[in-house]
Amino acid sequence: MVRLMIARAGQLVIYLTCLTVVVFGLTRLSGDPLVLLLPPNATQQDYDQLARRMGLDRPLVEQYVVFARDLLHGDIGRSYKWGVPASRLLLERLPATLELAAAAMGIATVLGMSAGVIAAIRPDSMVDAVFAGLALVGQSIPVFWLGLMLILVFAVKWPVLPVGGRGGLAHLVLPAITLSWYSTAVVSRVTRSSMIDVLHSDYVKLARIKGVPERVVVLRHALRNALVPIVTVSSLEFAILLSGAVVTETVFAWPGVGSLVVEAVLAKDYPVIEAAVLLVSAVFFTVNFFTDLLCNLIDPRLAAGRTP
Amino acid sequence: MLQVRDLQVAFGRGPALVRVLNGVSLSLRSGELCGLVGESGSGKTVLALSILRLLPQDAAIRGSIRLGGEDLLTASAARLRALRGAVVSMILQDPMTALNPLLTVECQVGEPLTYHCGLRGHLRREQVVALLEKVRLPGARQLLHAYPHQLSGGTRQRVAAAAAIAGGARLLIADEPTTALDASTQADFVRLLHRLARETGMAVLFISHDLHLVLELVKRVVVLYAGHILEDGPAADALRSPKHPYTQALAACVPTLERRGERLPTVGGTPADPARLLPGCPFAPRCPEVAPACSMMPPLVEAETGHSVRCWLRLARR
Amino acid sequence: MNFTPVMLRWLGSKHVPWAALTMGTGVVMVAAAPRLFAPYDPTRIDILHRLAPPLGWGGNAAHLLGTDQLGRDVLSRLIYGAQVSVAVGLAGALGAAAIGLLLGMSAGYFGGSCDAAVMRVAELILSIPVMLLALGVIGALGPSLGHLLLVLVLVSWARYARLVRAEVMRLRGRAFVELARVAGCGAIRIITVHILPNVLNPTLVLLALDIGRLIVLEASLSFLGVGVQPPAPSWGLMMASGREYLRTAWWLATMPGLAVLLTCLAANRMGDWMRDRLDPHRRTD
Repeated sequence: MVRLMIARAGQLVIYLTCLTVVVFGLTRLSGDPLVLLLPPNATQQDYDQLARRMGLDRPLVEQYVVFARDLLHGDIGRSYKWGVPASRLLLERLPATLELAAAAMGIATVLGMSAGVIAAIRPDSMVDAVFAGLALVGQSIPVFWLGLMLILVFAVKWPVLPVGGRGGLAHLVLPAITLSWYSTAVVSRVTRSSMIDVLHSDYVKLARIKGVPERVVVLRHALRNALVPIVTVSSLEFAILLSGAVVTETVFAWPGVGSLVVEAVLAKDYPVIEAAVLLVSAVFFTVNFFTDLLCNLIDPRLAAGRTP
Repeated sequence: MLQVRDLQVAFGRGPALVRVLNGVSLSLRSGELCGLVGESGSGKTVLALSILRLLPQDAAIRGSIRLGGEDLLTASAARLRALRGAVVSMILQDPMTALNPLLTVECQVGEPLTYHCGLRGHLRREQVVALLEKVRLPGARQLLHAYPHQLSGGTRQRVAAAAAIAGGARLLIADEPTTALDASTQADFVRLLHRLARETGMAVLFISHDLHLVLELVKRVVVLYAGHILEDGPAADALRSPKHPYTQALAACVPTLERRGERLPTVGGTPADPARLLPGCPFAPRCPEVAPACSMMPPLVEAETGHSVRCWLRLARR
Repeated sequence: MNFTPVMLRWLGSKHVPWAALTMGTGVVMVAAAPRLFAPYDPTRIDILHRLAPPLGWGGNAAHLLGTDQLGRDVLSRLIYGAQVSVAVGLAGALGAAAIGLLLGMSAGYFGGSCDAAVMRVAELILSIPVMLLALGVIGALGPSLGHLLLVLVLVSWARYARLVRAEVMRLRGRAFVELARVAGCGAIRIITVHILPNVLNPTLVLLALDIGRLIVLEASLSFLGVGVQPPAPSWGLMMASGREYLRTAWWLATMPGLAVLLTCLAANRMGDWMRDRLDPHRRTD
């Protein structure tokens, strides 16, 4: 376990380094930031002066080193638009995104797993068919359109829920459902196929031979064994969920990282975009790290370094 | 204690219908050690799973299976669960897959104790240790918290056996329990089954494709071929005076001291495919003594006391 | 009571997806020659008939799917929008497949540091949420159709590379490749003659499944205002402007969404069907 954590921490460092190179590359691709910062009537002298002050006249490698050093001190630059440090802006918005993502992931896990288990126990039942259809339609529906339709039905036609914004539980319902839709379908499908494999295994047969009650067979013997693929897929699903969060937040005017990024892109606010890419990737990587730990806790064979 | 009457099992429907068991009748007295021999695809495992009512849901079952006077085909799900593990139990073929990889030995062996005997905690643990000792596992107490992947194949199979008999079953079905074990462990395991049967007085239905191995344990052998019983008689006769040509062929495959240095004969031809069965004796296409009458199905007839055979030749000879 | 399961199972069956094929062909035809199908010029403004509802909701046959806030015909805009969506989806998927094939085959065949480099970059790309990567790149380059295409290729090629590499590694050990090498074939010849035909099927399946994904992604980016730029008629843009009129003209946001949904459903069904036909043993995730 400790060895795994050290290995993973090493990977994280390499990964983040690569990521900073990518982000640094993006800033250089974005053209000349000075044009954005200087007033239109600035002289060549103003330009050179600012370039020297920002270190833009030095070689690229040196610029990267400065960039990385600042980054290590938590400084990724100030937002062009708001004039405050980009990192502070992001951290202010992070709780809202985490709240939304957690709610959606919760719905996807609970609903998707229960539906998957039921579908595996009774293939070809109503639940199975409905979630098969949901999965098929789910990957063809743009998240934001689903959000618009939910607003149309539940906020405009029958105004039972707020149109957007962040507030109490009522504000969370529509965005969370929108965001969880696709993940629910994926989790239910993975649970179903994983459970069907496990339910055909010899050890489930042995459990039944021993006269273990069916409920215990399904939950203790089958579901626990089906859990590793489910958890792995769910964590990969989290990346898609974060992508969806960008759009969902925009549709519902949810004050999270996603809607901030869209604003930043439209305003060419590069430091904020860079910080967001780094932050969300770090969040995603952290989630994957804990997923690995969780899988190790579930399956003693993984902890022993064997593949099941 | 077990009476199987005219059991027919089929999978699929329409043109894809496959008849796996075609009217199998078999009785076992309490404490009887009986061997069930047949090639793969002959329906041995399906027969075993029918007795436990654990066939897949798309299987069509007809006939009757009675256990201690109770009809299993009409029993409720709750009743079946109460019987499984407590009255009838089973050891599966592959010890590598039969144990749940995420549960400890204690949990897996102890489950029948919880659900059939209501044992918990300390009492249950002591009982599990006793069971592990009963299957001759040294250091039983250390094994309690072990996971299956930490154990060898032979040890796993013993743990599976302990779990199977934990509920106090009166009938144990052992479905090729030694096939996946190496040769020296095989003999040990058969000896263990023998000892367990003697100590507990339970009946054992020992399923194998290996006639030689079966004879180490049992007093009676039933030969199954393509879902039909071809011969049912004392174990001693199966080697010395087999009646059915198929049993003769099987017996000839067993190496003996008298035939040292000779090349071992094999049963010619390929095993019958239950999906493509012609009417008549199923062994006819491979039978060295095939006769015109064999295009009709011979009945299973008692040729001597306690020895039945399904073959026109033997009937005629009598 | 069994109606829904039967219908859904039919949608998910392994038989020829006639509905999906018809739908797919229809969309491609419409996209290829919108002029032939569209009843109106998609940019023609007609303020007098603005926000006319669709036929069946109080509208008339002149505008089957109603008109938008400027009186432009929604059906005509959908038809011209198909051109952008289908072109972008197809071009993006083809570009990604081509790059993925090239890099995946090199990685799989040459192995070593080439393999390591390609796969590390692929993993990095796959680990950044798609939308964020797309926003980051478009944020850096500025929104335009060309950049949109670039982004779609950038976020998609890694999946092809991974698939193709795995397939090539599997094939490389096979006897026929070994024989070709013993017979003195060069690397290029082995790759093009012996390996390429074998990796083409799984790549095609992934490609078919990717088209729907990219159409949805294009719509999402256009919806956010960083994809296709107005006044070009794109489905995503139509939904973005329709969003303002949810209270008064629901059809503006609904119709383009249905168009995306049906097109992608058709593309995904065809992809699933191809996978079942071409590649029965493999599941491409």
